[in-house]
Amino acid sequence: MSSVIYERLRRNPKFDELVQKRGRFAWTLAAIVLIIFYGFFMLIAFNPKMLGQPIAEGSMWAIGYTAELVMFVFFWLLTLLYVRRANGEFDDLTAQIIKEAQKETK
Amino acid sequence: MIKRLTTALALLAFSGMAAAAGPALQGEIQTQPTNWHAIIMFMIFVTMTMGITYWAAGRTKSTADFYTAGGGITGFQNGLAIAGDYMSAATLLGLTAMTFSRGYDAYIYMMAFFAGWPIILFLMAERLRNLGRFTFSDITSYRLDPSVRTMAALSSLVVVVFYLIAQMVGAGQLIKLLFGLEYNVAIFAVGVLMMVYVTVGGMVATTWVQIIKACLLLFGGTLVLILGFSQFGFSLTTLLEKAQAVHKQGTSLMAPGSLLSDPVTALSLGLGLMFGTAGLPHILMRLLHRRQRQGSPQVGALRVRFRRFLLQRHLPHGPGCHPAGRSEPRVLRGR
Repeated sequence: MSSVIYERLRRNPKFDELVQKRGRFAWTLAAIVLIIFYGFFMLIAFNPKMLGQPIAEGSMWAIGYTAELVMFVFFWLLTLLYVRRANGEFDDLTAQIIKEAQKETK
Repeated sequence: MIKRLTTALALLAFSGMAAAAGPALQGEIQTQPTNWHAIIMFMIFVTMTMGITYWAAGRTKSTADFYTAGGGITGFQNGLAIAGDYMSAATLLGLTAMTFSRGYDAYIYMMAFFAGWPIILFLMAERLRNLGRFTFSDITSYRLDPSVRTMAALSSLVVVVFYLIAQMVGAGQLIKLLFGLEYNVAIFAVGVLMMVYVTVGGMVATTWVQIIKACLLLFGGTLVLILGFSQFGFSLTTLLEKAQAVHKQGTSLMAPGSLLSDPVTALSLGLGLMFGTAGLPHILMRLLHRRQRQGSPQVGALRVRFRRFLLQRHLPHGPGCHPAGRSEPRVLRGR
């Protein structure tokens, strides 16, 4: 019985839309994180001296610390962005698809 | 029941391995005189968590209860539990100590641990949750050939064994230091406690124990941070200046040191730390808490927030230990 419903879910064009939208969104965010993260690691590997420089003359803040602080905040914001969309748009769409599949049974 | 006994026996064998791994570290830490304050505090927490385990054992009736707490855990609770799972001895003791001795290098580690979380959330969390299975092997065999189960089980075990040994050595050393117990006795005490929590209480108990642990760590860590920071008039500049003045590495504390001397090492560390986080079985299985409307995505935000909170604290912690350590002979003794 449930396989009939699954079949119906898959035939719904909204299902394709959900999969595509969510996949693209998640992979974009993941790519941003990966590029920044490994870019930073390459900096550590090839130019560690630069990270030790202070951000301004006479300041105690080194470039490396500042960069990591910004990364922490930025990754956290990306997470927030994802959660917002997953709990709002994607969950609504999922609920709609399920509702439509159940309606056809009756 | 027999299954649980087998698990218990296996865990006992692991604690034996940890006992074997311990002596390597033994030379550095002297057994302390019995510390009654610490023992009483520890006993209070053990009694409290045992109480929770007993309560949870009464609630655990089905397989779903045992593995995923029957889906009765809210997103917020699960987030705290994941944070507790991840803020382990390695994070608390290891990273603080590393910041203390190596400066900026430890901060690179923190960044790498942290960067694993968004990746888990974006690419894995929702898929794991939606399947509504119990274990990691269930998931791999759902998509792939069922024989992949063996492989998944083996890889999970390998990861867990190494992880567990490190944690148990850490816990054993800590108890030895606090209680003045023999290392072997300490290790077995920790091993027995762990087994009771997991085999009797299942996921409900471990989740609650982790939630409490997370709250204690967040509270204690923040308190130590504020107290430590107050020594420097809440000025980061003063703190960093003093740390550089007394540390033998001096100004090079602020730059990456010898740890990542060549690109291959750097890349390999980055890969290992980031995707290692994404592969920890005990973290992944928390994402399996069953299909709940407002479950996992929320959890993602929470745990990342908590992680960041903890990790950020290490930055002032480490250097903070430093000048304070010099002026306080008791801390100095540890070196």
